[in-house]
Amino acid sequence: MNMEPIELAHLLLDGDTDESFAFLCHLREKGWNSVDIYQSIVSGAMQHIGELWERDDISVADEHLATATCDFMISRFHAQTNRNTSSRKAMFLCVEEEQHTLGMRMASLLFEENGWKTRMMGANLPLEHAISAAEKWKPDVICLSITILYHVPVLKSYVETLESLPFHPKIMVGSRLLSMYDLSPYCTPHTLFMTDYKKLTDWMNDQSEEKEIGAS
Amino acid sequence: MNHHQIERYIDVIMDGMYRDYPELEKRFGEAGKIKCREDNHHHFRHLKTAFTLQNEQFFIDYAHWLTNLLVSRGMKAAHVKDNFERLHDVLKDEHSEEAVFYRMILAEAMAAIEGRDTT
Repeated sequence: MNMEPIELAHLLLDGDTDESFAFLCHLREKGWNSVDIYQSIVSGAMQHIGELWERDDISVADEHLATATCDFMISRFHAQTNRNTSSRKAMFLCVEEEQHTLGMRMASLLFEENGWKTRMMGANLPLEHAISAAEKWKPDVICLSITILYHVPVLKSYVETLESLPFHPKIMVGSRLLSMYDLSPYCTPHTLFMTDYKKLTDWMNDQSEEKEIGAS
Repeated sequence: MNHHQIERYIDVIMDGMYRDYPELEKRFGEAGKIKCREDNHHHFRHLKTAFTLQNEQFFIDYAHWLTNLLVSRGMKAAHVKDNFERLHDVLKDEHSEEAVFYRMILAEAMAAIEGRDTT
C-alpha cells in the first residue's frame, strides 16, 4: 500500500480534523482529483483502520473517532470543490439496519461535484420510508448502500420495489462486498453495480453525453 | 428457525462450553458470557444469510474472518471450531431444510478452519 492512506489513517485516528483536511487539500494542490482522493486515499485509509481493528491494534472507540473525523473531513473538503450544474437528482440510502454510510457519502459528493442534486437519507432506512421519500422527490437515480453481508437478503425487495415506481428510477448498488461477491442474483437485470468511484464517474459522464446527444 | 428456538439452542451451546471450559468464566467473567451469546447470534445470522441466499461460501468466508479476529484477541482457531461443533450438534435432531443446510455448511467451515495454520 502507498504511504498516503496510512498517513491519513493516523491523522483520523488522532481525531485531527484540521490536519486531515489539510492533507486532502495538499493532495489536490499536487493534482489529485476527487475520485482518486476518495478511492485510493480516503477509502484506503478507512480500510487500513478496519484492518487495525480486526488485528486488535485499535479499539472500537478509536474506529468511531476516525469515522466521525473522516465524515467531517470529506464534508469540509467537498465544500471547496467546483461543481457543474445539472437538473438530475440522486437519492442515497442504506438498507434497513445497515449503519455504514461513509462510502455512500463520498459517492453522493461525487454526484454533487458532477452537478446532480442529491438527497442523503443516511443509515438504516426501512423500505416503506424509502418508497414514500422517493415518491415525493422523484429522483432519477436511487443509490442503495450495503456493507454487512447479512443485510443482502433484503436487497432484492428494495431493488424490485423502488425500480417499479411509476417514474422508473435507475437503481444503483454500491458496496465493498462487490469486490468479493457477485450480488447480481439478489437484484434485478437492470440494477447498476458500482464497484468503485471511477466506474461511478464514468457512468455519470456517459449520462451527460447521452443527454447532450439527445438535446442536439 | 424462529427467535425462541435460536435462544434455546444458544443456551444449550453455552451451558456446554462453560461446563467443559470452566476457566472461561474466570478469565472473561459475566461480560464474556454476554459476548459469547452475541457471537452465537452472529453465527446464526450468517447461517441464515447463507441459507437464504443459497451460498455456502458466505459462511466459510465469515468463519475465516471470525477466526482471524479472535486469534488476534488471544483465542485459538480451536475455540471457533469448538463453538461450530456445538452448533452442529445442537441442530442434529432438527430435520428442516434450513437446519440440514446449516449443518452442511458448519461442517465445511470446520474443515476450512482445520485446514488453516495451527494458530
